[in-house]
Amino acid sequence: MKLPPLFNRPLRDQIQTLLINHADAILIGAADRERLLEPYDNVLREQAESLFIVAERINDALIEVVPSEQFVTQLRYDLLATAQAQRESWLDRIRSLPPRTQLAAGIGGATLTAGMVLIATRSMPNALEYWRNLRDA
Amino acid sequence: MTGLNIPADRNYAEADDVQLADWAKDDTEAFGELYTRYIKKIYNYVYYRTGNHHDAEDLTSRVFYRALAHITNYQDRGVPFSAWLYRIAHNLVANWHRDRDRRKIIPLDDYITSDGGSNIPESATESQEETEFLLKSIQDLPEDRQQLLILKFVERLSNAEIGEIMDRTEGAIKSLYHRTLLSLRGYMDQTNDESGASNKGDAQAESEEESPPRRRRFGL
Repeated sequence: MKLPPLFNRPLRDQIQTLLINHADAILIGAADRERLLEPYDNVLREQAESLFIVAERINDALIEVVPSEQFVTQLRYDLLATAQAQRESWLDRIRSLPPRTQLAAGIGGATLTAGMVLIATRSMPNALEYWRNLRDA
Repeated sequence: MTGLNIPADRNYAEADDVQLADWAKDDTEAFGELYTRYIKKIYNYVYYRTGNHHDAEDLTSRVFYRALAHITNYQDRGVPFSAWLYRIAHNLVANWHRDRDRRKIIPLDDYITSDGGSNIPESATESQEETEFLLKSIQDLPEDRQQLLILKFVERLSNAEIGEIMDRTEGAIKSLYHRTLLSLRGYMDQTNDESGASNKGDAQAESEEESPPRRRRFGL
C-alpha cells in the first residue's frame, strides 16, 4: 500500500528517514532501491531516487585507507615509551641512579634542608645582620 | 605502566573500551590496546579531513599524544571512549584548518592514486573523473557535513554513535545527512551545467528544485 504524501508526518521527515535507512542499507550491502521506495508515493520517490544515487557514489568514493605499517608501529613504540617515562615516579628515578649519585643527592638535599631550617629559625633582623657581617668580612 | 601494582592477569584483548581507559590511567599496555583498536579509524578520519598522508600521520600522532596526556581525565559519563577520541581528532583538524587559514585544495592523486597503502577496489575506479570531482565537492562542504559523511561511510558508525561524537540528536543527524546530499547533488548539477557560482548551486540544491536533464553526467 502506497502512503500518500504528508501521511501522518511531514514529507521532509519521511524522506530523511528513508535516506538514512538507505545509507544504513548501503553499508551492509543491501541497498535495494525499489524495496526501500515501495511503500512511498511518486512525489517522494522522485525526490529520493536522485539522492540515493548521490549516496551510493559517496560510498564508492570514500574508501578505507590504511596507514603505513611503519608509521603505526613507530607511533605505538613512541607513545608507550612516553607513557612509561611519564609514569615513572620521582622516587623511581632516584632509585634507578647509581649508588654514588644517590649518596651525593642525599648529602646535597640534607645540606640544603639544614640551610633552610637555619635561616627559618633566625629572626629576620638577625639574619640581615648575619649577612651584613658576612659581606663586611 | 608495565610495572608496579599492575595485575598480571589483565586480559586486554577482551576488555571493553571503558575498562581499558580506566586501566590506561596507570597501565601503559592498556593504552597500547586502545591505540591498536583506534589507530586506523582515527587515521582514516584525519586523512579524509586533510587529504594527504603526510598531514594525516602528523595529526594522528597528535591525537594519540593528546589522548595519552589526558587519559587520566577521561571519565565514562555515557559517552563512548571512541567519541572522546574523535572529538580530540575533530578539534585538532579544526585547528589545523584554522592555522592554514584556507581550504586546502586536495591533490587528486592523494585520494585516487595514493601509494600510501590505500587499497582501492576496482569498482571505485570505474569512473575516476566523477570520483575525483565528488571528493573535491565533499572537501568543499562545511566541516560538520564532511565529518558526518566520513563517520558514516568510512568509519561506518551508527547514527547514534555519530550523534554522540557530533553532540547532536539522531533526528539532527538525519536532517544534516539530507541537507548534505542535497548540497552534493547541487554541486553535481552545477558541474553538469558548467556555469554559476558554488553558493548558488548549493542554494539551488537545498531548495530541492529538480532539474533532471542537468544530471546526465552523474546519472542522476
